This record gives sequence, C-alpha cells and structure tokens, in this order.
Amino acid sequence: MKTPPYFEFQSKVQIFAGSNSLEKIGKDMEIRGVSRPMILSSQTVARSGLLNFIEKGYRPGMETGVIDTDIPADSDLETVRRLAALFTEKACDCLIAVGGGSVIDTAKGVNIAVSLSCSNYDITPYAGAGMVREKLKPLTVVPTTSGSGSEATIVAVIADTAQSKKLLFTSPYLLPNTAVLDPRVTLSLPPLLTAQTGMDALTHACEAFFCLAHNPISDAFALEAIRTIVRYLPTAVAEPSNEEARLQMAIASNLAGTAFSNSMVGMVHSIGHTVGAIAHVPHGACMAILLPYAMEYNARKAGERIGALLTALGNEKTFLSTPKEKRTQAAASSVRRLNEKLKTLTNGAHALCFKEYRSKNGEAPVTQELLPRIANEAINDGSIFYNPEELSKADALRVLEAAYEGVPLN
Amino acid sequence: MDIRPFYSGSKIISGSGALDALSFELASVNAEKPLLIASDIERTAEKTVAKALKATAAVIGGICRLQSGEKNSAKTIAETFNRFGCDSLLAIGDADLINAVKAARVELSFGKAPAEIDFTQPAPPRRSVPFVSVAVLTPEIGPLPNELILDSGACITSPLFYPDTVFIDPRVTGKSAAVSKRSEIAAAASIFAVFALSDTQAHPAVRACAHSALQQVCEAIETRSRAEQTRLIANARFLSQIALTGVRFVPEIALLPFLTDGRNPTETLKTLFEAALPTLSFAKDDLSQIVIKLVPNNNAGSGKQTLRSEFETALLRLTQRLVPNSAAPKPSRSELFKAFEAVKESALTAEQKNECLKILQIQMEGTE
Amino acid sequence: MEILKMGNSNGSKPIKTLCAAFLLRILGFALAAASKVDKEIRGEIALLPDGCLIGMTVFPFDRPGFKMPAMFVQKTSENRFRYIGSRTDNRNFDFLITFTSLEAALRVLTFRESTLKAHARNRFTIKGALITAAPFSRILNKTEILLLPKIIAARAVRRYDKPKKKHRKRICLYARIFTGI
Repeated sequence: MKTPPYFEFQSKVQIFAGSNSLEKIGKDMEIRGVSRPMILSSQTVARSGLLNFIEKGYRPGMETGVIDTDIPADSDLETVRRLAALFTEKACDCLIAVGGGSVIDTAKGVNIAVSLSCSNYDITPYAGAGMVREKLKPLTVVPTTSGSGSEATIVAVIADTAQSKKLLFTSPYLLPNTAVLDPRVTLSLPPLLTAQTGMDALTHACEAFFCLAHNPISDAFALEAIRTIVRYLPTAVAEPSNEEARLQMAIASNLAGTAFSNSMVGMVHSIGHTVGAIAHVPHGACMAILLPYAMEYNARKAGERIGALLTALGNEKTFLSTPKEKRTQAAASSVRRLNEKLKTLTNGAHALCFKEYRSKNGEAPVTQELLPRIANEAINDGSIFYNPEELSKADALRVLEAAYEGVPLN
Repeated sequence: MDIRPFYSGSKIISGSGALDALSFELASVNAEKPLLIASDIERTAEKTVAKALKATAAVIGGICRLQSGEKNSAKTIAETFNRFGCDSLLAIGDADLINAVKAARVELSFGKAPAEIDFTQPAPPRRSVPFVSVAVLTPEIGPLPNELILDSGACITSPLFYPDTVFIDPRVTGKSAAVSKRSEIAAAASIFAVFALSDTQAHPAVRACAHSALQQVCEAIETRSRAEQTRLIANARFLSQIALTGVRFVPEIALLPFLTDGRNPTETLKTLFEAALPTLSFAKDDLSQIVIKLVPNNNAGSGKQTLRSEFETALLRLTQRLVPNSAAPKPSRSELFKAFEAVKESALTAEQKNECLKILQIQMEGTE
Repeated sequence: MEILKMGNSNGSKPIKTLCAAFLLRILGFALAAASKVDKEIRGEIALLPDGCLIGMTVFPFDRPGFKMPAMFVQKTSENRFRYIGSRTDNRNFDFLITFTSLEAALRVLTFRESTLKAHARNRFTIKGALITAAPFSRILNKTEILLLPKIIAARAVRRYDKPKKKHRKRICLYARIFTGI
C-alpha cells in the first residue's frame, strides 16, 4: 500500500447529504450569491414532486427562472443551444440538474454556453481536454441514480448529431459546485435497477483502487465506498423504501465517483462499454458480471492491491486470516457472492453471467457469436490505458467467454 | 440521519516533479504571471519555485518576501499584485503567510477588505484570482484551509478561502526551514485525523481523508529518504486539515492559541489529546482499521485486550514516538487560568466557549 | 516586507531542451521506420483516420517566444507513418500529446517512467479522438519493443510481447533510421 511517487487529487464539490438535503439548495445558492436557477430534469422527476422540495428551501427573493424536462437520453449540441437561449431569455443566474448522466452532462454544456463567450451558444471550441479555463456559473447536481457518480466528474459528453460524433469536454471547472444526496430522490428506483447501479458504484470503487492512477486519497474514498455498498446494497434492494440504505448508497456512489474521477477505471469499463454499445445491456449489469473477472485477470500485476480490497469487501479479520496468495481469489469470490445475493433478492433478475442476462422482453441480447466483435472493439476503449495488465484482443475474448459462461477465469 | 456537509476546495499535486507542472496548472486557469509571496526564511523553496516557473515560460510578476510574524500585510500584497499587473497568487510559507494571502485574494476579488464582507451571503466576486500554494513544513497550528483570521482576531469560514491548488514537492518540503520538526508535524496531523474520526456525524469523505492522513504518517515513519518523508508528512498535514474542516467544533484544537504562551503547541495538543482520547467515540470500523495500520500483522481485537484499548494504546504509542515527553511541564494552573479568562473574552460562540472552558477545568483539576 | 519586481522570463534549459528535441526526433524516425518493417504496426495504423496527423509536444509549445521540442508524424495512404519534423503549420491535429513540462517529457522519453504510468500521473495531456489513442499507444509499444533492448523496453510497456523475427526487424529498423529510407 505504498504511496505512489506522484499523484494528483481533487474533489471540489460541496456535498450535502442527508434526509432533507434538497431544502438546503436555497441556502447554498445564497452563499454563492445567486437567486434565479434554471432547473433541468426529467419528466418523471418533475411529476414526482421532488422539485417542490428544492423550491421550499428558497430564501426570500429567490425563484425558479425556468424548469425544462425535455432532455434527450444522449445530451446533444442542439439541446444545449436551445437551453442556453432559454437561460438567457429567462434571466437565470445558476443551474440545478436533477437527473441521471445525460441531464447532468447537458447542464454542464449549457453552463459552458452561458458562462463563456460562445457565439450563438456554440460550445464546440471548448471541446477537448482543459479548454474551459474559467469559472462557470454555479451548478448544483442532484443525482437520481446511485451509481454513475457523474456528479463528481470533470467530464461532459455531448453529441454532435450533425457530425455524428461525441464531443468530450474535460476541465476541472466542469465539476459541479454542489452535489445534493437526498434519499427521497432514489426511493422509487426499482430493485433490479438499484442492484445494477449499486454494482456500477462498486465497480467504480474497486477499479479506482487497483488501476494505474490510484493514489492514497482516492484509495481511502474507494475503500469507504466499498464498505458502505457491501453493507447497504442488499438492504436497499430488499427494502426499497429504507431511507437509511438509500442515503448510504447515494453517499457511497458519490465517494466511488470521486475516487474514480481521480484514478480512472480499467478493463471492466472497456469491455462493459462495448457490451453496452453492441448488445444494449445496461451499464450496471455489465459491470456486475465483469468485475470479478477483471480482478482475476489483473491478479499478476495488481494481485496485492486486489487482495487488499478484502479489508473492505469483508473486514480486517477476513483479510488477515486469508493467506496472501489466496486474497485476490477471495476478493473476486466475495464480489460473486454479493452478486448471488442480489440475484436472490431480485428473484433471479440480476444476472451473474452474460448467458443468463435477459432484456425486458425476455430476449438474450449477448450471444456467443457477438463476443469476438465485442473483444475487437473493447481494446480501443479509452479506459484501457489505466488497466494494470495489458489486454489484447485474445485476452478480452478469453475474459468474455468466461463471463458468458459464468465460470471463473482460472 | 443528519450528515455534515463536506467540501475540499483544493486540488493536491504531490510528488517528485510536482513543481514542474506549476506553469501548466497556472495556464489551465488562464494565468501566466503569478505574484510570489514567500516567507523570508524559506529562500530555498522560493528559489526552487522560481526556477521551475522560469523554465516553462511563466513570467514571475514579482516577489513579496514576508518576515515571520509580520502583520497586516494583505493590503500591501494586493497593491503589489495590481501594480505589477499579476494575474495569480502563489504562496510559499507558514500559516500566517497563507492567511495574509487569503485576505489579499478576498480584497482583490471583491474589492473590499474581508472584514467588510458578510460571507454568509456575499455578492458574486468582481473577478477571480487564482491562488496556488506550495507547501512547506511548518510546525505552528494555524487556521484551517477554509478559515481566515481577521486582524481583529476573529475567525471566519468560507469555501472561498481554499487555495485552488496545493503543490507538495519533496524538493521543497525536504528543505523547509522547519524540517527538523517534522515528527512534531506528523504527530499534530495524526491527532487532527483522530479528532476528525471522532465525529460520527461527519460525512464519510472526512473519514477517508483522516484514514489517508494516518496512512501517510505510518508510511513516513518507515521511509528513509528525508525528502520523501517530508512529502508524506506534508500530505498528512494537508489531509488532516481537510478532514477537520468537515467536523464538529473541536475544543481541544480551538484552545491551542490560548495556551501557546511560550510553549510548544504540539506538546500542548498532545497533552489535551491524551486527556480527551478515552472520552471520544469512534465507529468500530475505524478502530480496527487504525489498529491494523499502526500495528500491522496484529489480528485486531482478537487478543486479550479489547479493540478499544488496543486502539488507544497504539495511538498513544504513536504520539509518544513522534513527540517524546519533554522536560517542558504541562500547562500550570496559572497558565490555564489565564487561558480561561482569554477564552471568556474571545470571539467564540457561547456554546464553543463552554466546551473549551470544560476542558480547561478538567486540566486544572489535574494540576496542583 | 521586501518587494521585488521581476522581469521577463529568460531561464530556458538549453541542454534539456536539446535532449528532448533529439529524443523526439529519434522517436519520429523510429515510428516511420517501424511502420515500414512491421506488418502488425501497419495493421494498427489502418485503424487511424486517413491522413491522421499526430503530434507530440512539450508545454508551452504554442506560447510565442518559446521554442519547445516537438515531433509530428502523419499517416500515408499505404498505412505507414511519415515523419514531418519538429514544426508544422498544420494545426488540425487528429491526436496531440502535450507533456506538461520538459522534465515530464524527459522522464518518459528516457523510459524512467512508462508511458502508461506517466499518463496515469498526468505527465502529459491528450487532445483528440479517443479512437486514435488506443491504436497509437499500441503502435508506440510495438515500436519501443523493436527499438530498445528488452531490459529497457520491458520497463516502458505493460507487457513485453516478443514480436516475430524480432532481430531481423530490429536490424531493418535501425538501418532505416540511420539511412532515412
């Protein structure tokens, strides 16, 4: 567990967590000197009445400039342009995003368009790494899925539909100013989705811990996240209305998000992204299936670190009582056991391997014939750089075949 | 289910070659002409920083060298900044110096002195002034990163006070003026971290920072290279301070400025910590994690001792190792009485005063 | 308080600049030569967009008055790399690697830090489509394995995959670098 000779870490997001956090946004806006937010959200959230809690917390003189819920599943330039014009028209001075990844990314895009001098709200000149170099308007984020961790990242992905490509914006200024983690937001998340997003968060934390850019601070965040997830995820799945479990999952997901936005993720994401893109399997389901395989696959290069995960996946006693050479396998097994538990709790809906996975209409989208194509594309994913062990096409295929059948790698 | 808010406003860049990235970092916030504010006793650090900047095309706007203990320098810093046409602040020095730079930054970005601003609802700043600090080892226990001490002695907090980036480079920390006091600094960082862990209502990120700080201290003890050791200690100090920004009011730490009359603050902190330790409450997870860190290969809680007593023994052994009991006597009754009066007159809230006074009373009962 | 006014920065590091420029030049030549001798490398280049312009520079490359080392290669129609040189007027980079400082560049170019570790430590930033990044990193690995003795190359790459006919390819590679063919 040696501190690397060089590391960078940041998490400049004010975090409010607790049962009445949505009401605290008003106070936070006061401290930031703003009073007229544009709220971006989804129709489901708007219908659920959650936005009322935000407005309840407003201080005198504050009011919502405009609420927009018409945001596509993939954020795109056209939506950003439309919303930026609306922001100016309604004289707003800050942004609140209540939603998943696309809502948050759209809000980041709008923020670039309205804060920097963009002619006709065109943000393309700011695409790329480190192109946004000035402070933007205050952005508050309320994540509605406990998993993606996008409330803690410096990245925004926005599609340029005309050129049919995805633009990647990265800058420390794209970090939201405030993240609000309120259990009421995730109470309506169904058990299967809770399990999948929870495993997504667990994967963020585990990969952040054993991938190449890990550092002592992201390690501590990751371990804290893993401990919380192992303890509360089964409860959140079994008792969807358990506020304590929901809150802890939201916190853990945020901690994991902070960890991975600093130390990045590895092959679970490289392969998972590709399975998602080709076979349309939800991201969280891919993560849950692939995580134990990545632990086994990386054993040679990062065995000690993966073994150290046992202190959080189990506890200090399990770690000490397991012989050194068996810790990696024990860590992978405890992830598998968690998956099995979630499978039982979701009445078999949570898949343990790709062969088992069924989409909503009962089809099996991942077939053995697809695996070579997935392997071929997975090795070109950006997250591959941070994986401890090299991953060639043949290696990726080997992992995929094992994950398809649900048998351990070795 | 009420959890305290958490915020860590500084990016940390720590390690060999950290300073080489200095002008790249400045450029990422649109700055290329920093004003260096350096402590007069940290000339080596100043030279290292200036060299790193020169090699990468950043133009140093000017240098302000502050004597130690120099007061009311914020105005001069702000004026110099404007006169030389600088675009960012770069601070190298102890807590007093950082405090002055924080005040200067507020003045530059709001156009008003900090005392004239209500930080619970400030107007948006007129301009943003990037503020970067290069860490040196300093023994004194100054304000936390989110705190600013006004000339009146009052302490105000705001997320606006954090430096944007903190550079921790072994080339600088290894040659700090206070390098010989590094074990003291490590002890203070560990004590801060333990105090942070004792707040069970804190956000889990606080625990992450505190554990990480303790980990850094443990590694520093095992490290032979002096430069690397000082870097790890500086990391620990930074992290323990961030952890403390997210916890309840800690009277033992708040008392320190009232008890440093000619004595070593770390020793006082150690005395207060040792007295407080049995009364602090911790999560069970934290106890076993710390025991395993401090006493590796010990099957935590399985021995004859209970986990809690193992934890306390391990911690006391650590502080004792870092700050051996010196000949300096514990605060005398008259000193404690003086502090008692000073606390009563201070700018603390009534509740905070009560907590501090209780601690002083307990200490007084222990003296003749 | 002592106040000093400072002037323009003039403290360049001529030796380090020269070293980095030299090493980048060798790397440029090596990439071009390796793409001629190794079929696998050509296979990876085929994945890049046509005419793809790739650059490796040291910050602050674009700041007026500073001549920072750089290296540019471009994909040709035969799936090879052409070494363009240390300067180019074309600013439409498909993929640009910028080292954050001369020291960072030297760490990587002298293999004190592997490319991936340096990337993980933010010693350089990447600008351009991610689809270019993975193939280019594999091309870089393969070139390094051909160019360097195993003991050094094994430190630069994540896994040392010995290419077929390594020695023959290595001789060809060096011959091409030195003759410039």
